[in-house]
Amino acid sequence: MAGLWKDGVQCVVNIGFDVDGVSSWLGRDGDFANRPVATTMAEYGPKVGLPRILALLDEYNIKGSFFVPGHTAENHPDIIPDLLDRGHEIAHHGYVHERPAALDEGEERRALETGLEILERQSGARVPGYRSPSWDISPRTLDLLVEYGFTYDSSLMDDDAPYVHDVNGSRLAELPVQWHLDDFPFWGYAPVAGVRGPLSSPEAVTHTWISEFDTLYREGRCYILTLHPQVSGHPSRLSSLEHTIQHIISYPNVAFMRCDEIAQYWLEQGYS
Amino acid sequence: MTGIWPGLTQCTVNLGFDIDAQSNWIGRNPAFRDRPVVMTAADYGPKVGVPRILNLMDEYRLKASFFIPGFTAEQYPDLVREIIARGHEVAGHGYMHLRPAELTLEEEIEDLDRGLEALEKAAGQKITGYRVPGGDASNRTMSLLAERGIVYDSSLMDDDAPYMIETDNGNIVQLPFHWLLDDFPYFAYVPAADMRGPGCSPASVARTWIAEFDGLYTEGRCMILVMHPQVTGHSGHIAALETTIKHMLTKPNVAITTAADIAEQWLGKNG
Repeated sequence: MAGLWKDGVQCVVNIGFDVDGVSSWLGRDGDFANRPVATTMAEYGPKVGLPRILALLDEYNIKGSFFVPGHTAENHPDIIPDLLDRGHEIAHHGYVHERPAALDEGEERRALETGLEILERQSGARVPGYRSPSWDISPRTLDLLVEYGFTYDSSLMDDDAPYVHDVNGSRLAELPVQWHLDDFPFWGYAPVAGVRGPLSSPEAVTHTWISEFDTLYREGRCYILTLHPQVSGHPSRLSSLEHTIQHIISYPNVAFMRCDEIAQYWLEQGYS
Repeated sequence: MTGIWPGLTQCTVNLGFDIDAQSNWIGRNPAFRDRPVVMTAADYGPKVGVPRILNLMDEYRLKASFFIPGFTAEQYPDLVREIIARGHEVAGHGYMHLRPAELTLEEEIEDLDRGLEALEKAAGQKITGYRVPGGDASNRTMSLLAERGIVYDSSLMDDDAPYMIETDNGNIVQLPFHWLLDDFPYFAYVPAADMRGPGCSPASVARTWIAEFDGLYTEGRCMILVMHPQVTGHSGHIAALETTIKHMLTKPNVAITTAADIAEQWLGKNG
């Protein structure tokens, strides 16, 4: 399996962040508004974790993709301009982090439209990318993404290189993801929500992420990490990301790309 | 991000111990009173864990904070006095470890006042520090605490340095922590309560805590460790704490001190 990438690139890497803030908790259950420990834990993300992450990405000169629910953007209107200034990508991640599979068509359309409206108003640009909240799309999501003009989705799990959906004759890139390349299964912990992750050590998570990279690198595939500022923004966890980055950049011919760049490249090559 | 501490202090650390004993289980479900295995696993805390922890604190000449539910204070008044006599801080933690977010206003006030009253009686002193039981404050909790003259609370999670909360009953300092700095998620195992933690090794927990400390130290922040004598008090688990302490003591200008002292230091510089 040779030559997916151009200019001698052996492996493409994307570092992505879902800036959920409180939206992922309120989206599960509006009653979390009355649980200040849970909401402050979530607010740690935009308030403390995100600046720490941005400093790290600047240090390594990496441009990432930030999937921002409309609710987070409304509550923190400084985030999107700052991300754009630093060269990162803004992409769609629901309005209040609604999982599409749990919505009817009208609700799914409203979540897409409201999120799009807020992101495009704040960024002043089209938003080409979508990652479904909780990675739980409905059978109609891909159709809707094409209808609303998206270029790519990043929610499905059946490969570790991009591929293309044929949606009624239109092409929509898929940038597949994996739960073990997400920080939440290792570190998510919110007892009031019944979430009790294993709280793995940073070293254990780094091992998992590095092992995955090594094989994808050898095979010339695409490595997409999905992190959350409220999870990975804590210093011990950020050390896992930094150690993973240090490992990745010790290899030649690795390209860090934003998801929109990966999708555009893939579609331009005419790949399936 | 520099300079939130007085003098040369680079980073502050609080070693905090919630002596929940039986209250955490009875508060969840009074039927646990009839489950002796659960009750004795809980009583291991005040009976065996706290003395072991106090000896460790003496060995390293450290002062810690003990957050004590009123029910524990009534059961173990001598232990409360022993903790104070050895120079540590005693702070509030409800009466029966009830979660305020699950209570009516009247119930929350009753558990709060009864807890403070029982602890003050055992301690013989006014209580001015607090940690909300169960990591589940209500939207009213900070105001109720300020109304009772509580100077600081340590329950919320949106920072890793102190900050001020303004309530309609006055200001209260917040000393935030996070679940990753709590021993319970790593070690707690109570099948009768359907709680089956991952049973992490002490070495892996120490690695997490040390990595967190290193980042907070570099940035000059505040590390609040939340432990439970019925958990960390075990001879194996306490190694996670001792390994972390040894690491912290290799760095200059670390103030390992009581939560009350951290609140006071922060107020003195930023209040």
